[in-house]
Amino acid sequence: MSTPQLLERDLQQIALGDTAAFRRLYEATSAKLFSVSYTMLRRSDWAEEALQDTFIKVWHRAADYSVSKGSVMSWLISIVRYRSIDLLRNRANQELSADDFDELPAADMLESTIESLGQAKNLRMCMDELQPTTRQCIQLAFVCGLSHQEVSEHISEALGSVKSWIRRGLDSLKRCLQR
Amino acid sequence: MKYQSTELQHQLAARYVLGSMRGLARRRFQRLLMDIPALRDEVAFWEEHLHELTDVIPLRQPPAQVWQRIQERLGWVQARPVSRFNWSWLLGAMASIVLLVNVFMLVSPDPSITPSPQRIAVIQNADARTLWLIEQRDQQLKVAAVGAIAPLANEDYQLWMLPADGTAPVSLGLLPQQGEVLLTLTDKIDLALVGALAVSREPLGGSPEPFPTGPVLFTTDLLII
Repeated sequence: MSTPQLLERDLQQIALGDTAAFRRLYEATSAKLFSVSYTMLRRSDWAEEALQDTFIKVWHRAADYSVSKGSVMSWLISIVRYRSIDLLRNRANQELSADDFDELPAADMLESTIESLGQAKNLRMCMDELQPTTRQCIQLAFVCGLSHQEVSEHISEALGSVKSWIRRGLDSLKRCLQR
Repeated sequence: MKYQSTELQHQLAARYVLGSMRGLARRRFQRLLMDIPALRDEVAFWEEHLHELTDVIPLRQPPAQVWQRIQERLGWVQARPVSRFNWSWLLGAMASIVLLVNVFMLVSPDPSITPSPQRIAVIQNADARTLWLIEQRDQQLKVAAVGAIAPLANEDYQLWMLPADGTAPVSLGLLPQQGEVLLTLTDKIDLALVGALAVSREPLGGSPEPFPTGPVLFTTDLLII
């Protein structure tokens, strides 16, 4: 069985109360989910909290998953990202510190990572069609969890421009992905 | 209703998944998601595609205490000594054990030949069929598999002592699936402190952790005789 199928099987078992399957799912996915959360929150204790909350939810809500909602990994990433965004809200009025900025991936790192999106050919192709600054704005918002205001500060561009680039960038991305 | 506008749905769903929608707007959108299936489809579209962006993040292992905390929050392990009442999580176990002294008496070896056991326990399944008989003599437990045990091909049954003071379970050893075994207890284990016994299903060779990782299948009391 492929990894996605194994994750699906484990999730079905978890819905039946199988704690060993729960442990397997944790071992198979926790590093990925923790890194997603940490990149957004940039604080280990908050990312640990988001990860805990995610798995508590998975244990109680495994039966809610259906294949029509996408892959198990995508479902898990949604849970940990949205929990991380909730945690970010608590510091909505708190500006990013200089240290926070230091920890953000540099633009060239994000560029090189786009090239490594081997399996996601459509996404990669469509991201490549975007203007570099638009692409960077979308990545900073999605991967690093930055608000429009924070993206604007990070790339030293006007807030209005950032909002407009992201909106138009997502429009273009959608048109491209649906082609 | 204005949310039926495809263009608006697309914009809102994208902002929601991207994370740029925050606070009250985000909570309001979550309520709309429950009411408007087309919005859920839009969100699913963006999730499935944008999540691929996370493939570029280097993997980072969470600290070991995260798994411990998850188990504590689910009530599977105890964080610190608490009252015995908190072992109530075991009540949800798949089956229960009852103590049947008379069953023990029928199968007990001749007491004139061997020293009498100091404590006994009988582990039964949900249908009240006896699975194991356990006798304690000093720092040894004689465990006999007496039938009706569901055979495990690649796993083991593991016996745990649940201290009466609510501290973490202590492994007493693996249970035989047939025949008898003698489990020797370390000096650190004081059966006078037992609140209950539990059996969990574990990987071959027993739990890789100092606590049960598999489901707790049965629990019972240890009876002083």
